[in-house]
Amino acid sequence: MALTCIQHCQRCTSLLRSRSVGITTLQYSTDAQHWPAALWNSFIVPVLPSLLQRSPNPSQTRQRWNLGVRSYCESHAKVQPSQTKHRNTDELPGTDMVSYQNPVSHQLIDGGMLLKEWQTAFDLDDAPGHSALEEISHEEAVRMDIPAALPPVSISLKDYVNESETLGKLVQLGVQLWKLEQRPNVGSMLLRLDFQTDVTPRLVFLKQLGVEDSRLGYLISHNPFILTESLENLQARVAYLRSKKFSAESVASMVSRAPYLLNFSVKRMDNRLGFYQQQLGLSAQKTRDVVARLPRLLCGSLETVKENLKICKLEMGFRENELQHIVTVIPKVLTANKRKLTQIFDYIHNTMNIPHDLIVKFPQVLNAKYLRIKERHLFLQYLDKAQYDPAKPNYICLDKLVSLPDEAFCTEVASATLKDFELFQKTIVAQPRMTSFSERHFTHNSTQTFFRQNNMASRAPATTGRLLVSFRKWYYNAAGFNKIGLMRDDTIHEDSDVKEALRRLPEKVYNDRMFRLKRALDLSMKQAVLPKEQRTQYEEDVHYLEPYLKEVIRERKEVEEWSKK
Amino acid sequence: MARPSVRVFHKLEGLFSIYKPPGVHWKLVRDTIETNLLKGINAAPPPAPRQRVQFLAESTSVVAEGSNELTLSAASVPALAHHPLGEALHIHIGVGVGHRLDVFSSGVLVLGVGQSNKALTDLYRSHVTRDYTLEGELGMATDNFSHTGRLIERTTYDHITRDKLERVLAMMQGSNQKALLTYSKVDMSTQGAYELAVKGELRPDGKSPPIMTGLRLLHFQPPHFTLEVQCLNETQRYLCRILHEVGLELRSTAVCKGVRRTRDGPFTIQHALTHQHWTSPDVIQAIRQYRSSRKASKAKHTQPGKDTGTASQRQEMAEEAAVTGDSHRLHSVLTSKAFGS
Repeated sequence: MALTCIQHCQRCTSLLRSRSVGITTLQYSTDAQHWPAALWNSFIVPVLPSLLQRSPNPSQTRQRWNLGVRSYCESHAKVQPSQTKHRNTDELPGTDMVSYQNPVSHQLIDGGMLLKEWQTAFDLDDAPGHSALEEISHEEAVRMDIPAALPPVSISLKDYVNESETLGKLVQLGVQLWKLEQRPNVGSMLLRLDFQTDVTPRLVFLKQLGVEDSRLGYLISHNPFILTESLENLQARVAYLRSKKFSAESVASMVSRAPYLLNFSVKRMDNRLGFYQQQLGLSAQKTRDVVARLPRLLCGSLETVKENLKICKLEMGFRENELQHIVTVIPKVLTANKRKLTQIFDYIHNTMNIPHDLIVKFPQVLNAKYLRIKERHLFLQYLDKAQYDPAKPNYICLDKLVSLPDEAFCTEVASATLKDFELFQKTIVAQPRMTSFSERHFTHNSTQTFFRQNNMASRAPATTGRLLVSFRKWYYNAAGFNKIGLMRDDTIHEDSDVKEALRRLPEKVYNDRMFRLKRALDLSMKQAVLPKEQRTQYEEDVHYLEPYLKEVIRERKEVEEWSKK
Repeated sequence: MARPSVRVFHKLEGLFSIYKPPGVHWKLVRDTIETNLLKGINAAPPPAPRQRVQFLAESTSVVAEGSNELTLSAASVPALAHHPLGEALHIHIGVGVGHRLDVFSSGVLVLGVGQSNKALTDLYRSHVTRDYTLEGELGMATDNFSHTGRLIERTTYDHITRDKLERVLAMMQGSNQKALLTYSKVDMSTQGAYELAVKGELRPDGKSPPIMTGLRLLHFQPPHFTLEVQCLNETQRYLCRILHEVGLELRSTAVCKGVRRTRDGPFTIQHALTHQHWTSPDVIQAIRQYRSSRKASKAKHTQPGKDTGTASQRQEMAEEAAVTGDSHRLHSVLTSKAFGS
């Protein structure tokens, strides 16, 4: 009751001010003037007129409200009669009462329903006008509710939480309003919701789904938009998941762990499920398991997953079946940070010298923290216990290395005290950085070299690689020297470095260069070009002089350094 | 009656040291600790929700016509505006860092919380020395003087013996000592200056370039060797360059494989917290330890009531001079106002 009264009053004032036709000197506006101008544009939680869309309007409240508004309006109408006269006669005609009705009725663009309500609520003929100085009986005075001084706009939901039923109930559920109010527009969206008609059906739906009460708060804190998603959509998506043979419990756990899951369309979820099944080559049941364990796979972007898969296959050199096993045990590898993943793998494979098959047996190591693995390995190395080969004695299981807490690790694995481990930690110094890509050897059982693929996969994702290459090709053709049959290194300007590099070329390469240059001179004399089939192609162009030139330049620099000393 | 979280806040005023692992930026470390301290404050039980009184009007059932009595009932309703979930208290903990450590090095990093950050600036100005352990490798030279850089040249080092290395170090220490004398701006022909110099308490007056007050070879096994350095106004890159110059003096080359700070003023590596202990209770414990040690040293220094002459002060300081060599500075820092309470 008090709530509706307050909200009516607020609506009145907010509407009046929203038009800003000079009615800025209302009493309420003084509150707003305390707020700096910048606040008005950002983080505003305006109390919009649609607050009262569906609240019941008993006649009693209407009368009371009429009393309240009228006394309010009267006082203000009397204070600024001059300002009620405006060009826009639709909005503010002369008389007191009507002046405050029409702006309202013409300003209600966003709530058609509201218009009628307002008009029905505001029955001018109902009660006689009251003056502010008129004496009223004690009962009436007690009955009159004083509206709470709620600011019309605010940067925080704190100001409204005592009066708003929705916000109060959400706080009791455990929703973190302080986080939500920082997100743009979420605060006003929550205020606009009606608890009975909006929030309750969705909460009931989630409960029926099997989400626990304690998780509801978490869910709404992370995804407040579930309260605005239509129930039909939500039901359709759940039906889709059930049709894909996800059990009811797994659907409930997926929804509670990935709050945004039910906001995605059926088509998108289907697309993703299909992608995982196809890319990983897993059976339907295994795909279901993987997705049930990490439901965010269905929510996020597929680009990161694609890149991670590429890294695992090309850089790390895992085979298909190995990758399948890793993903079924640790689905998080698909969404892990690329840099950290490669750092850990590099350390495990190149520094700890653990072969691929052992890593596949214990994929948990890829999920562990780099610092933890490093410190424990160095400690074991210091104690001469770093032996990870199962065939040899005193073998240390990778699983124990990574997953045991410090205390247990020290006593069981390293046979030392926790204090010793801490003292050792304080003696660790920097380790050499990762070896460069060309020196790395992520070789597998087969003798594949991954150098070229490494560079491709590491430098840029596939799409921009193609763009760059096509640009380069175009530039190469535009440069024109390929039309007379030359290569890039034939056209290099001959300074002393280049002369020395040329002197070092092998005979065959040198003779080929001479031939090409002669041919080109001949063509230029004749003002002709080669036919298209004989022109040098971008792919055929070999930078034969580059390594020699680099060597020469390095030597010269070294000589200069020495001569400086 | 303070909230439990405010009480935790008060316990956090002080300085403490942590061990920074290599490979992380010092800012990340500081942010982690700040987050952990805030978590500790939030973990304190929240206060009971405040109540507010709301008057609800109830109209009693009208039995007789005239009895329209209105009764008002006062209801105590929880004020949700100050509920922990509704309001984010913006507590600001200022965690300040003492002498910084770059990404490559590891070691003692002094942090201060709250009001004690002022003590940190005093620590800067008081010219406390710092102890480092440098690990070097002979035979390589890189562009950034450390083993993570690009290799520039390789040299032989078979001709280097321990004796030669120590001679080079002695020469370097000598030149640093001369620099110290010049920058301390004392008149070397006075008795007071001589006594200070003998005790190792000379310090530069004002700004100075990096000066090493002590240099020692700990361990030599070619190509690896370890130096211990006591220095002022240094940066870690400067120390790596020192190692490089040591190599050059020996007609070979050397790179730095690790820089580890073992002492920063009065904070030693013994009490530094490793990363498992960067949590609120451990930090509170460390601060308490620091405060008690400060009280003890304060008591010790102000104990001689009568004879507060310079001779006895120097005597006491001389006891500790052997360990740190800058107890005089320490004393003035410890008793300065910023450390108060």
